[in-house]
Amino acid sequence: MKKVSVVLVMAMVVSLLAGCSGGDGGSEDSGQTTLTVWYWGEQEVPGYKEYMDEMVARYEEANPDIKVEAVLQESDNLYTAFRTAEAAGEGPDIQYMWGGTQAMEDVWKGNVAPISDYLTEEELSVIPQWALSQTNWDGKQWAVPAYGFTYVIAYDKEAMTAAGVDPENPFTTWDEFLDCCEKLKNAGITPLGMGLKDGYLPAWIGIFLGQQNLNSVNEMISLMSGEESFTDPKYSEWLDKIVELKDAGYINDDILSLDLYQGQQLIESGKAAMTLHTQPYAVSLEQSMGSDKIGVAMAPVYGDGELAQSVAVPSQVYVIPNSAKHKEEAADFLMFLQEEENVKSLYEMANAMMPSNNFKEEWVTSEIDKEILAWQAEYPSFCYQLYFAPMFESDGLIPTVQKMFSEDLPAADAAAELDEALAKCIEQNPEVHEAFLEWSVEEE
Amino acid sequence: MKRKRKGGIIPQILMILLVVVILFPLYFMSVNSFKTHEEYVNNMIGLPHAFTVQNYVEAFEGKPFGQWFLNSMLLTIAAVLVTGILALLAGYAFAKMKFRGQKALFRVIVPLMSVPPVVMIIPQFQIIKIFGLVNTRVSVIIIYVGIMLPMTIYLMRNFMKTVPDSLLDAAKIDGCGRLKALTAIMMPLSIPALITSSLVNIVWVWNELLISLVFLQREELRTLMVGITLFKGRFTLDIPVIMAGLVIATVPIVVIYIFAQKYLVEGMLAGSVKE
Amino acid sequence: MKRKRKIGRLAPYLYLLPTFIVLIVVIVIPIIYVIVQSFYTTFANETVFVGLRNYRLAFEDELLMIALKNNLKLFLCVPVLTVLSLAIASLLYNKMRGWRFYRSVIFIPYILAIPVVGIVFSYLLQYNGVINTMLRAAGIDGLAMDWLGDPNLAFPSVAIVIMWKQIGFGVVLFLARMMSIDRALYESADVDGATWFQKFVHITIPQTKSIIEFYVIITLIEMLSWVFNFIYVMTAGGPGNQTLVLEYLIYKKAFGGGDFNIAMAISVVLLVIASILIAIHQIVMRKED
Repeated sequence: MKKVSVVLVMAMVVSLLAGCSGGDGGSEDSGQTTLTVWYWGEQEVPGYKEYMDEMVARYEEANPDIKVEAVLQESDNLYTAFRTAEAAGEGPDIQYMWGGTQAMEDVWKGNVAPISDYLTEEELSVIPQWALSQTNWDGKQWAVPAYGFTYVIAYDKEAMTAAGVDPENPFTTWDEFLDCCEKLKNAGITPLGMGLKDGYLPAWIGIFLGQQNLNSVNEMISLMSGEESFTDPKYSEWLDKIVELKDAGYINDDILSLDLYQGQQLIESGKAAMTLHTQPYAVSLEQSMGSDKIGVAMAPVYGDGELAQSVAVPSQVYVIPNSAKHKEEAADFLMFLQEEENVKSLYEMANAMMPSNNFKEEWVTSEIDKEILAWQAEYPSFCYQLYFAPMFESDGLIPTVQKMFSEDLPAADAAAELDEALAKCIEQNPEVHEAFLEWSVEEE
Repeated sequence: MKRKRKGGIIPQILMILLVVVILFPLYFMSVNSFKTHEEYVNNMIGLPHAFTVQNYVEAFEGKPFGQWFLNSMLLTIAAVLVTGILALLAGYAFAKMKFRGQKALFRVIVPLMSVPPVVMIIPQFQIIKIFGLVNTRVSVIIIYVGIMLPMTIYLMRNFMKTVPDSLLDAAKIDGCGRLKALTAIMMPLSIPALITSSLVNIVWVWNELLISLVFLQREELRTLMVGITLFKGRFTLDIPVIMAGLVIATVPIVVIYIFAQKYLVEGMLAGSVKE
Repeated sequence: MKRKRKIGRLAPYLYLLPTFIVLIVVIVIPIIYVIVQSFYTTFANETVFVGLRNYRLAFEDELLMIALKNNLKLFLCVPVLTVLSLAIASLLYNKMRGWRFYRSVIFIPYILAIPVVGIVFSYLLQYNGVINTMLRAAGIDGLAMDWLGDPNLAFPSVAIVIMWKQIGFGVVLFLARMMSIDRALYESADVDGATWFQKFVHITIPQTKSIIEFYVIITLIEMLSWVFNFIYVMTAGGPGNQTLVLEYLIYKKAFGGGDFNIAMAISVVLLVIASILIAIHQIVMRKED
């Protein structure tokens, strides 16, 4: 009797395992090619998943012999899953990456195949030069844009009106900004809503304030190469500005216990008047709450560099991993996303503008987008985060800015900590750092 | 059986306090899952005035909870069963057989239980690739079994040591083979240890996040824990919807617990009379 | 007959074979890989031997010390958990009114998913979260702290959540063992007029010793090697690295854009600590034998 039950259990386990493995088998049969895409984006570009599903359907219809398997990744898992799989040579055919150094790091580590090996210059020419240059290195193109977006300050127009601030033009200079914050505060409204817990915020603040004393990309590169120091007020004044806002009580009191998105959503729940946002998200708010409720503004200007008044227009990118099994098809799919009809769908479904010559400004109906396009035409483009040295953000910027709030670390000490962290990053990753310098000098 | 019920008023008060501390987070989670967002903002702690199930509808929408749940179940059952069987065999060998290298082998196994999974992910992935098992449940099950085995064997062996040899000798005299002695005598006696270790194992596999996150890169293979982390990033504004999602993820395991509780406690009790 | 004996001699090894195959594939080979990799560095698919460089860099990095300290602090939870569980179990053992209910409830957190626990507690512990709202409503604003944001409170808060989740296991484990203790022992102690505390020290503890030992060891290991999920879900190591633990540091270095090989060196450090723990345990065990 006992024996029978043991045999039964064994049989169950075996059949269960067999069943699992049978069910999981690949679908590589019948001559079909399966193209795997690991992507991200729904968090900053609401509607991106829907757009991707649509693209997959369209592409499969046009190419019946290809099956596309698009897997949406979580923020925390985007790089974990990719780097593990790539280390074993089992990566996807197409991988999504955050722009700038964050994508180039994997290029330098040898995880990425040059996309220009699979696409002609003519095919690539649909993408504007400025967008390509962000991932060009060693004479090769390594990535193509997934979508572009602009960093904006989103604000609640009604709150501005209630506080006696012009809702159409709340501030341009730093003093006007402080004035606006003071009025909001006096009206009982928290001026700025942000979340620092998950650590994405410090780079965002840097994008709005960090570059304001710089005259060119060169100066940023000198800083990140360790030639210049954060203790130079030119580079650290933005840290003083953070302290200024914090000490004046213009930032939500629970910044340390909220994640980036939770902080941003304070504006939606009416708990804060302003927040830092991406253009697609701001537009989605405009659509859901109305254009008389949500407005956008550029960063308030305090600095005197050429880049004091600039717009950050980075693009997130797709790369073809070194281990991809279908590189030609992957490149073809990425070019398919650049076709005019699909670029239009990206804009219509997810409010994101593709850095592409196929993008037509006449599609734009949103007030916010019109305003942003006008900024892009008028001001230089610069994105502070694109030039972070590898590891500088995770080991330096994030803990340091968190300490400025949690331990009231003074700006001068914070600057010294950033210097130290940067020196450590360079020491720990000398080869990557060298490649970084090569790339950033080339790019500028 | 006359035993005076002890316990003055102070222990009762302490226990009630403890129960409140333990249940409050669960209360918070369930109560708020039935509120509208507006009500939550003004009334975080009280009972819902306007009872709504809309949050559950939204939490379910577009999310294959059933599939996630099934996947987690499948991984848990398979991994815990295989671990139990292997540990039974190994524990028996270590506790009741004599062979060269016995002590040394056991001493090699025990430290393995303290190796943190995060350390081994990359090499494990490479090994899984060699076996051609990337993106399969089997790969994850094998890894889980490997991680759980040392602790389970340790517990089994220590427990089996306490079983008197005389019982087994009696079986041998009756003409039972070793395997028979294991299945007919050792296994029934080992149920408390099996149940205790399986419990630890079930809870561990059910909660495991990192390995399933990295190894199961296909929508239809995702586990419940990976699914729940979706609620961390996305619907952060609508807290009642998040709470509804968490309740959906929690109810099945609590229901199972309520039913299994009796066996669990009896199982842990049975047989531990000796020593 | 002769053949049978031969098989008999091989039998133990056959029993162990499946276990060893799995352990070698899943743990031993990966550990060897980790140790080897900790002496190399990889760049652009080229692997170079660098001796102890990765270890030197790991130890120069203050993050390793912060994480180490935090893991040691978590070890302090183990005696607290053990004593609490024993105390609660012995209260329940006296069959106080409602003990079955208490036992059921206390065990519930243990079966809950860590992401669920982490998310719920994040909302409870936020600066404008439920606990502080309640404290403010009660008029004790002074106690409304930034539980996860204050550098002095963040780690204790996480530790308390971990204990909240783990307490039930100890209680149920100890209670099960206590219930199988021979009643006669207590009865004769009663005759001698022993107090509750005396019985606890002289009967309960010695009788449950083996299970306490098991509990202490697995809880220590949990605090060293299995706390990743809590940190991952609740604080991501912040604020300002205050809640960093070794596991999370390895994860950050290996996958967060850092040097993979330095992560491997830190892993070896963690393995060494774990081995020391186990060695202590085995020495204690042998003394008892």
